[in-house]
Amino acid sequence: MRLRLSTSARLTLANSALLAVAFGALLLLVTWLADRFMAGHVQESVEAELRIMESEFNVDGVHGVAALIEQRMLIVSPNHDRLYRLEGPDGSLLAGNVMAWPAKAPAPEQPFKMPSRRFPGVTVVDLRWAGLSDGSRLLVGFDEIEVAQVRGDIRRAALWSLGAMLLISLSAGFLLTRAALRPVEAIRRAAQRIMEGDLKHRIPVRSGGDEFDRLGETLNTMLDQINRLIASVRGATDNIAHDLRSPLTRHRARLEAALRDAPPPDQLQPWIEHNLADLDKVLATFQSLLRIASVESGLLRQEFVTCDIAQLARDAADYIEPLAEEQQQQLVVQVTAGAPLPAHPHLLFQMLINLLDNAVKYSPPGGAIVIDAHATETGWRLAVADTGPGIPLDERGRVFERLYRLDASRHTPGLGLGLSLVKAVVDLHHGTIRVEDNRPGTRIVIALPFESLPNDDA
Amino acid sequence: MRILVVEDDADIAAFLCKGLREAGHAADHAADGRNGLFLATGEAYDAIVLDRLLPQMDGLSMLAALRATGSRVPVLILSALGQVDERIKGLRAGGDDYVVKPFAIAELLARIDVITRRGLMPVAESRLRVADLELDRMARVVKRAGEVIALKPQEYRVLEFLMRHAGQVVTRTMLLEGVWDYHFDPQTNVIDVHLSRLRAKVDHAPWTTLIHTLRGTGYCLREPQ
Repeated sequence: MRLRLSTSARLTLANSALLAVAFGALLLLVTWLADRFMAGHVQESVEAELRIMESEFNVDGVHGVAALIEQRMLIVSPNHDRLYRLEGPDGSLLAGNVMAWPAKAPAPEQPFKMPSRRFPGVTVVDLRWAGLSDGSRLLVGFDEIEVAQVRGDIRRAALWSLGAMLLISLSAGFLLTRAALRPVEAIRRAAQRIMEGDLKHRIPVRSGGDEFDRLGETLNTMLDQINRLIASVRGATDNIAHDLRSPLTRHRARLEAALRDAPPPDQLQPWIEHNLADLDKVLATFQSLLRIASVESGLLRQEFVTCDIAQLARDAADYIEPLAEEQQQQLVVQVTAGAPLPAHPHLLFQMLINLLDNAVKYSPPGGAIVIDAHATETGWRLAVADTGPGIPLDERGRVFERLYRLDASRHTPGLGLGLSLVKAVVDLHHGTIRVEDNRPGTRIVIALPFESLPNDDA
Repeated sequence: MRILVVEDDADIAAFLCKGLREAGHAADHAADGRNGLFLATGEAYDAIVLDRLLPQMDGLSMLAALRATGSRVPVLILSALGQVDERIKGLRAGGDDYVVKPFAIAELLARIDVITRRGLMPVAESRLRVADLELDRMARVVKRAGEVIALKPQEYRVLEFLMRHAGQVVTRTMLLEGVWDYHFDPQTNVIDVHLSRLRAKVDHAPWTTLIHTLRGTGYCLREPQ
């Protein structure tokens, strides 16, 4: 079974475990050092006792030593196990509490250990012996009770402090990580609200500017972008509803009328063709709206390739030229070669066709149309000018709206979508577009930058 | 010709089969991809009209499976997905042509004509000739009744396309796709203007008319009957 833990809990536990391991290692080191120090200390005491006994022997002889041993055995505390044996050259016990010479005793002045008989299992006794000059032997042993006690004390203290440290580290860690991760929870809650339908809601961003704030800002920008896309789709659907309903209503009315009163057989063919043409226009409008929406989505930026804009402009002019010629209009192509530009060739071609088509449509017979394309330091400048009636100043901003027609009576053919697509294509390339007065006529000027600004995703 | 229609929409399928039969073809219908693949591998068809969005097995998967069996039958993909990249995807999967819904039956028939004759056409022929109209692809020279006619590059390309498809119906969309390097919506009747200009140069009186306009469909360049 896998235990699922929050990030906060995982971080805290990992941190505490690390601390505990480090603390354990420290504890082992301290215990080992204390052991060594204490054991050395007992051995030194044993040796010092031997030296004292030897001095006593030098002053008062064997009897002095025996008296000293007796005296020592009287004052030894009941919590200690101290061993003494003074034996004569013949091996007889002269003083002390060790009945027989230990079998495992090594050479004189060599420390050795034996289990304590008084506290078996609890401690050991450190021993050492020395030969006296008259041939008698002196054995002294002190217990290591204190070593065990100190070791126990250290362990207890360590366990307590380990417990306290773990408690502090766990609680502090939990509180700290929870505080640090609080923005994540805030982001989650904000996302929840947005999912529940509050599309205007945004992730709260503090002024600190840390990683979470930057994440929040990026997410907010993303949400804004999504909102814009939704709005553009919604705008497109609104206009579809508005502009497609009327021809469809007409179409429906005609069909209904035919159901009641069928057109005479000789008029049936033109009647059907009329209806088909109507439907085709509806479908064309629909197609154009979808296309504009897809261009506005920005997804087509993935299809950008390096384009020769001069060639594109010449191709577009070539394509439109017969149309201008038919109107006895003069098509002037002013194109100079320049650096290539990453762009969507099909959409740029479509954009130029739309502009040129408009120019031909609105210029009077015998008028002039100028297409101008040249590279500047920052990008390409494209301009299409006509000698038509021009666009009034107050309407120049509105001509890029979907289905907007200058000619309110709609005498000239067209869907009112050509310039919307132009605007969408310009936006796709992070360019700018403006309408100028050509005196007489209109000049539409487009600037396409070489370097697309990454934040300018409008 | 024997043609298989793989289309799940019953109305569109009936419309397609009727249109194909009226044009003198025999039409079979499969309503889903699996059935379509079964028929396409079991029977010998001259062409397949294939919808992209199908139940059981989508059109492109069916096409891939069909091509994997080694079949080279011409396939015309029919789809509501009209984006350029969708089109490329369709052609890459082994389709011979791609028609976007909604479509006119005349467009579809013209394109079926082209993809079924593709194998028979001498692609690399350097000299095209229809009646007394001649086009030398090496020298890029056009002659009518022996007289050299100067054409602009664009006019030349349109004429070359028509002559390569001599005797077949060429729709406006086919001309757009075949002559211009861009995939675009032609707006107004620019194509017709191009054609009338071309006609004024290579097909005017007293010569016999070779380029015919088919109302609501497109054009056809053919020998006089």
